[in-house]
Amino acid sequence: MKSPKAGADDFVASGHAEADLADLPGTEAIGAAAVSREGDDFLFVWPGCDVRIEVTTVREHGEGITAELAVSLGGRELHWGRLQLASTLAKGTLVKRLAQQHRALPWGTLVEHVCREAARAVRNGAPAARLEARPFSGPRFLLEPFVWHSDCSFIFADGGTGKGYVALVNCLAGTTGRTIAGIHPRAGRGLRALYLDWESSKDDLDDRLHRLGRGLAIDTTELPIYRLGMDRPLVADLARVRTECARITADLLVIDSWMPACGFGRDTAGADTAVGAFAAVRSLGRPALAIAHMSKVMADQKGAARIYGSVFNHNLSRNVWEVKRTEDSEPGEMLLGCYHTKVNEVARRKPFGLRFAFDGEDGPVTVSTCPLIQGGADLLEKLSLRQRIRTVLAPGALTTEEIAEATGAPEKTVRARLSELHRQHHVVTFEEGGGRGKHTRWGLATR
Amino acid sequence: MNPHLELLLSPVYDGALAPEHLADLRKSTLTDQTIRRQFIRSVPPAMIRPLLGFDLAEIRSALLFPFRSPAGGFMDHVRLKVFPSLTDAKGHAVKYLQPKRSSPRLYFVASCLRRVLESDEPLWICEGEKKALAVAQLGFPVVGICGVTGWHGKGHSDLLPDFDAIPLVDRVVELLPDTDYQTNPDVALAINGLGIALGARGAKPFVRLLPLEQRR
Repeated sequence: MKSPKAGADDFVASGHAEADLADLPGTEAIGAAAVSREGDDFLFVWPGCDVRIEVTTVREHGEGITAELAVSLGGRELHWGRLQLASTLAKGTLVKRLAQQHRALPWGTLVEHVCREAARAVRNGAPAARLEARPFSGPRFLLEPFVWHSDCSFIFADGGTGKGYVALVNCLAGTTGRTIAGIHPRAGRGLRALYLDWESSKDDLDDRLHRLGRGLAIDTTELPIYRLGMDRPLVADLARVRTECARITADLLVIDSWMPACGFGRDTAGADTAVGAFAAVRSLGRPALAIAHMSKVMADQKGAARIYGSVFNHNLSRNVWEVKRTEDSEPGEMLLGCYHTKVNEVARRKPFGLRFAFDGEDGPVTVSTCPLIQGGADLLEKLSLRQRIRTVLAPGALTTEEIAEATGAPEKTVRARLSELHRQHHVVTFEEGGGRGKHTRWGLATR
Repeated sequence: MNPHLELLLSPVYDGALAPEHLADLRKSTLTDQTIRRQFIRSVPPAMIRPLLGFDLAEIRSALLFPFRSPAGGFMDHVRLKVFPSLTDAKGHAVKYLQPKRSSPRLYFVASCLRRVLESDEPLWICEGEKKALAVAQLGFPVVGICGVTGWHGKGHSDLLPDFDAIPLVDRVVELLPDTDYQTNPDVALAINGLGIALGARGAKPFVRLLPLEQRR
């Protein structure tokens, strides 16, 4: 049997006075929602009535912002659907549906509040700031030399070049705070990395990480490197990525790889999708290292190459490294040449080699820097002749003929470049022998 | 205004209270002054139908609660406390009736009307006319809602237009529901819904909890 309810008049009738009423225990304020945000996902909770409204997959179109709203009451989902946040008609329909299920709550007020606040939060960007003409503070590279402190950096190469390994080594250097294979963490703290993976599987990445960890003597079991499997263009999946970024507090994104991240657009040159993907990365507010490819024509040619696809892939990037793998390496070894093809604010870094050594198909993988010359002509042909001369002279002095042979350039051209370098004090000469047996040997000037 | 209501509010019916009705008001601690200022009076049986727009054979007598308008005078709206209580199809007791197809209205109390409408004192909201009057007699600015869902109209859940007359921004609002707020989740939901609607208007709503152990 239900106990009879009592009201204020009963309270007064039982002899209570003004002070007793004023002293009645109260609950917390019940009118305001507790709002939490993860990326562009929002959760509005009214604890007093156990109403939760989740706002996810927020998109801004030409006609306004749409989002998925999931409304639940007391843990029971009342509605899930996509809604145009500014549409009076759409909101009215939703409110009507909710009211049919539970009349006692002010659904119109709740839905209006949620739509307005979510739209406001999504659109709130940083205000314009006056330029202050002051020196740059903080490191320019997050991971020198591959990852710039902001926006999108690139490693690009032909297929099967080990780009994924290079990206993973960057993650290892970043998360451990250790310099690994010439990759220097500059943040002054351990990073948290999110690997957006369009190309491989979690098993593959787990295996690579495990083998690199063994090779580099790093305990990888607790490292904050997360993988997010991707199958749609970044722009289409941005809300999910933003949410995961916020959830794991990622400092570094790896995009493996750039073309599927861009997706396919109306523009056959890929300009629209590339620009869209750059904007998406920028909106995530974290530095990213993107792995990209190059065209077959570019891969077969000597000299500097470009990232496959739109010219904006090069133009909008902050820091670009071309990677080339030599065919001239030992079994179980991967020798890569790394060439800095773009950076805006600082001098380009010198090319260098990376040597990966694989102990069988399951054993540890080690990685270290190495002179480019170890990769032979394959890795040198990407360099200008001046760079090639300096590279071949790095181990020790050589004659003009030997330099010509090592660089693959005609002797006459080599002689002309050596004279230039000599005038600029980059190389010095040594005389050996005498008379007809006299040889001129060239060596790098020490400064 | 309904001419029958107009007649009932005239001096002709001043002090017209059946003993059973007066006893009911006294049980809620209402004083003669409160009863007089709120124009509470017994309804002649013949006027029940004209006031409500319908008649129920079970009703033996009725007590009139006219609704004061915040703009002055009275609204064209009433609630009648019927004797004996009726039982609806779901077995719930029905003590009050209002005109057919009418929306709920806020119950304003004459003695604190100015404080409700013009001050920034904490506003109390009670569930029912007599409870509002009992709280007003203790000196609090108060309005009554007619039932836990009586703060919104039929078919929607926005605050009644009567709330527009009350300054709510930054105002503390003390909701004082019956004790079933603490035991009946549907009642709690309805009262908290009122809190949310008030919060959206800028008010700072709280719920005050009456002791569960008190008995009528």
